Amino acid sequence: MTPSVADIPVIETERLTLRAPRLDDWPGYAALLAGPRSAFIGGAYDTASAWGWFASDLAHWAFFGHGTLWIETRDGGETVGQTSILNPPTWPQPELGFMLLDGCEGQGYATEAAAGLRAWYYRDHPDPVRLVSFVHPDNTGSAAIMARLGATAQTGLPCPFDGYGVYVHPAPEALQ
Amino acid sequence: MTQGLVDTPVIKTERLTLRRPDMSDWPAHLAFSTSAASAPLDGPVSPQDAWRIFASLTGHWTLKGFGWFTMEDDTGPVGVCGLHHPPSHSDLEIGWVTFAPAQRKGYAVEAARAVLAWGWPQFPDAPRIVSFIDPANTASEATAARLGATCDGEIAAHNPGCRVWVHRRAAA
Repeated sequence: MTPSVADIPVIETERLTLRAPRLDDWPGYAALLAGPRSAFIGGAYDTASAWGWFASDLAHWAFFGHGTLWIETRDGGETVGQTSILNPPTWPQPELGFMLLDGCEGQGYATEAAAGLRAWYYRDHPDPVRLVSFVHPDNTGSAAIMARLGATAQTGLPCPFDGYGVYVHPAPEALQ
Repeated sequence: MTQGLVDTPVIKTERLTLRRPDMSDWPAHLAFSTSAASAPLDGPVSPQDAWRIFASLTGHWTLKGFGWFTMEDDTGPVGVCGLHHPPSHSDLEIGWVTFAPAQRKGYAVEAARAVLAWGWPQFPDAPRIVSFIDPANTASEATAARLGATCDGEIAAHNPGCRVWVHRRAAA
């Protein structure tokens, strides 16, 4: 048997627990990627493509030691969305992203979860680099979250998605 | 803590080692999936989609405890073979892909025999294990036939371009 080389952390923030993706997260993810809000991430996606992203985002942990975590409320254990640090080889650098399930927006969960994952990555990943986020130009909700996270839009940086804004997060040293 | 990888068996056959995919396999996947050689599998695809296909092989192991193996000969990775059951599919499927440079050597038959021998005992209650194959992919149909699978013309529910080949549960 091949030994496990990557453990997926559990991260606690003030109101949230970030934990490994599970098969029972799939229905919510599939619904989100089939729905209108997925337009900000290149959707809508059919079931086969959505499953591919669900499984491949999880595989990041095995390949790179970072990836997707799902977000639960500590009070009640409700699953509200996911946050991720992804870096497919087709991307220029690791990207911090987040996605909330329908009805879970407007409570600051994305900001809190992304900040928690970013802090873990800068502190505990063996080889952290400065993170960016790619944001659709019409996604004003994510742009507001970027401001709360202290990330600023910069021009002239490589981006895998045409027309998206590239937001640069504070450097690891700045958040120590 | 949750394991990012489940324990994955390593299977040896006469000429091949079947092992968990890792990042060292990515260049061979990218080259195959973005080339005309992947046309029988609805390719070629973009590099981004090639990544999704490649990385989801590993994610499937973590989510379901089984999945695809990299087929490796003494030159390196030459393809993939494994069992999977994504939500869009009606049945547990055994699949195989031999990258262009290693085709026509019987590798897919050799790998799939070993994967089925490993797989059947894992799924004692599976009504069947199938392979979904585009009839234009005559090489893959020949592989299925050599494995003893049969096709009565049933169309795959998720893809009208594919027919369902049914594998027989091994006596062993």
